[in-house]
Amino acid sequence: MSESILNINKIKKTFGGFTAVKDVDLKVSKGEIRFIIGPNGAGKSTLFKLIIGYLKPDYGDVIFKDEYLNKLELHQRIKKGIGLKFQAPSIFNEMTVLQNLEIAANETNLEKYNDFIKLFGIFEEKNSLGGDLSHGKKQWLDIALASISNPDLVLLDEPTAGLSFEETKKTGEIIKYLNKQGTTFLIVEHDMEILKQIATAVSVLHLGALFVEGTPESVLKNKDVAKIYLGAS
Amino acid sequence: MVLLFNIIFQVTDAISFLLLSAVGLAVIFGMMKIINLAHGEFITVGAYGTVVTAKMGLPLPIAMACGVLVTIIFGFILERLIIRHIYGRPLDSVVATWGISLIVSQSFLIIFGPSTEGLKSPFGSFQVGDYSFSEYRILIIFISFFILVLLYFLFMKSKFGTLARATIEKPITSSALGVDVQKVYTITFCIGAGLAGLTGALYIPTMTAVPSLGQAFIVSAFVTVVTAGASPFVGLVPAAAFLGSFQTGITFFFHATIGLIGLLFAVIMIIRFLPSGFSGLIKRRS
Amino acid sequence: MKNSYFVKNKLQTITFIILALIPVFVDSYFVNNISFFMIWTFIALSLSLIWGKGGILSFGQAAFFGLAGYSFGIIGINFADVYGVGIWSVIIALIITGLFGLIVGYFLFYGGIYDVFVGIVTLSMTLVFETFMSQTAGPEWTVGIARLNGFNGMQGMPSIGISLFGYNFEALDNKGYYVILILAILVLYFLDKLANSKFGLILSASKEDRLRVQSLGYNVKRVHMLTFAISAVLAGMSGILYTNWGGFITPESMGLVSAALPVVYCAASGKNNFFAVFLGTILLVWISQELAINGRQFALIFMGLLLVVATRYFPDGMFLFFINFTKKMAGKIIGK
Repeated sequence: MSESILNINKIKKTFGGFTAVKDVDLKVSKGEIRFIIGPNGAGKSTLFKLIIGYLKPDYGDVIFKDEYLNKLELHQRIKKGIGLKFQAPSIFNEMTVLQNLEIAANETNLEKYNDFIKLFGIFEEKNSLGGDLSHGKKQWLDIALASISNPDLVLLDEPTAGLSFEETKKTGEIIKYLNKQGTTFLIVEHDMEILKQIATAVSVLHLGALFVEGTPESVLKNKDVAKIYLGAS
Repeated sequence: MVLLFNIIFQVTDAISFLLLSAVGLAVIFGMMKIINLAHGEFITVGAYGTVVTAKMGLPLPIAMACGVLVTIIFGFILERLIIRHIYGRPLDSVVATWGISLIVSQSFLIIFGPSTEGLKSPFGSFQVGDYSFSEYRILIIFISFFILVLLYFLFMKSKFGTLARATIEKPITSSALGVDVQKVYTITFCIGAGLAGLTGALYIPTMTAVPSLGQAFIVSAFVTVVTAGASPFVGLVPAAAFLGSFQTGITFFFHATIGLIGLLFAVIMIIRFLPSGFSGLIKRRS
Repeated sequence: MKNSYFVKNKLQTITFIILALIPVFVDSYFVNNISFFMIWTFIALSLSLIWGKGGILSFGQAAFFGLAGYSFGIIGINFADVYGVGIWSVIIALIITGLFGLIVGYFLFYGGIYDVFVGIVTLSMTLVFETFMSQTAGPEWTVGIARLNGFNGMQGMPSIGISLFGYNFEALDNKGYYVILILAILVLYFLDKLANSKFGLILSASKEDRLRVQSLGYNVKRVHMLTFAISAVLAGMSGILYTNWGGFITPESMGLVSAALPVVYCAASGKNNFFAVFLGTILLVWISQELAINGRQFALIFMGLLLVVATRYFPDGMFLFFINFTKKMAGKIIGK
């Protein structure tokens, strides 16, 4: 059994009378590229927000590298070695690409990151304003922001939203490359192509609970998984 | 027994004052998320409109209607010239309406001078034990609740109200369904202005006519709207009830100035500990 | 020194030189006037920092103005005979104001209060101060031997003066002009350095997307609290200089109109640009003083008009628009 980097124990979150996430147990091992999938309303976004500390659970634990994160706020959890990217591209439009990266890297001299920046295909635009980038490059910059400080675990919420087929493939390559350097990935996604391309493990959420887990092949072949996507719950 | 009546009167008087101060602001804020710092000036316009027309000889209720009408027209002009260009910019709406407030209040000072002879309060007063109460202020209390009922039917039961509420929730969707969103906003702004004008018209017989009279209402108005929370229609009455009782209590034990300070502290605490106001509290329960 | 502020910002440096030379060519009445105008630049810059750079609209600057002014007065009156009181009262008043700014900032930002609600809370705070101070008229309202004096305001504090090698500066003459000018230059230099530092970068980014900055590991609440405290001190500087100028401070300095003034100066000048705010404030105070000769109402109507026009047509500020226009014209003339 490989070393666990993220451990979610019996986490539950309700809003008013509605249970968004119920007793989810999740274990992500070091080096994985774990995908979390599920139909709309499955609770993926809520789970994501619970892990990063944007929402507080009703009960349950979030354990990162054997440390309980429960009492820590968002920015404190990040400092422990987590990178994250929200669903909508949230780069700083009024700042240059370099300034964006300076903030994320917490350094003003980014010389040593040149290769990293080239990897994301935004080196040419390093002095352009974030707002002037194409949608695809904005997403890549956003992922770069999440990864530049070399965190142990990177959380991505729908990183391929709005990307073309080619751009999605390139995103997969970038993630695979970083993964080889030692970064673990936890990715919430809808796109099955990138899942087939890079996933090493898949968790399926349905109606707030963990439905099934396994290798990408087994999950994709699973008839019950297909059924929940088609609406029979 | 007499003391009880006195307390009940003070509290309901305070509550209806808060309600009437706030209702115009609440409609505009609830609908368009515009913080109208010129709200006090709308009240002033309604008040002065009433005084001027009453002095011309019109009977008081007609004069009040004129005051309201003038305020609606004033609101309409403002909406067309300025307000509609700053939708969706809450911080800018604060700044712009503050500018309007300065312009109007100072213009009133120039036109009417520091004070104008006011109106006499209609009806008389009656005694209960050692205390005497103004019959007119009791009438205002009833009017304030009547207005609330009217607004409830307007916004909850009428066709306009349904359109208006749909537009608050989803302006783009409403527009796509053929609703003239701009018209809804304009009408709503005018309703808000008219309500503020009505407040001025109703209270002016009990106050001296000074250009800064709106200021007496604006702090109460904001405190009440903020306490009411994101859905003013839901939270307004509980907010006014809570704050009115709180303020009366403090005034009772200390005096009016401390009552005002108490009110301001209350709003600071409410924002800190109950950010969605009373409407948030009510919604969470249901 | 190639990257020095003064080399990089030629327009600013030229302006400073012009301002420094003014007393040589102009009589002391006019010089005193400009001193007075410059006194208001600090509170305007304080709002420019927290609103223009930080994106947080605070109506509390007037409260810090008053707090610093009253603190300065109280200390000055109580320790009038102590050596160096002119300077110590300033320093302690600023420390008090800064601490208070820190506390209010903590309460606001760590309490999750943002956007419009900051405006409401800070305006309430300012009005509470004003209301409270207005009813301190009775003789029982004294701190030490300093009477707060309610609506009429506190007076009788000793003026700022330091004995440096036996040479006395009084703030009400040409030397006072230079003291204020040097202070202004230092503040502008400091603010520029702050804006271009990492702290400034985080602040600007937080203005755009607070959550993203937090998600990159930064404690945004702390950044905002510190910025708020710095802006409180700046507003306090205006309060102290103003109190020193006239020898009195009144609750009206914390009223609704006073709270509006920094907003006018910033909105009309261009809240994002410190230098524009500096020049714009001097100009605006001057204009409003001229207008007020016929009655304060006209000055205030002008202010109101500025707010409306600036918000409606010049969201980046009218003065900034003018400066950029001038730069462009100058560039064309020089033939860049």
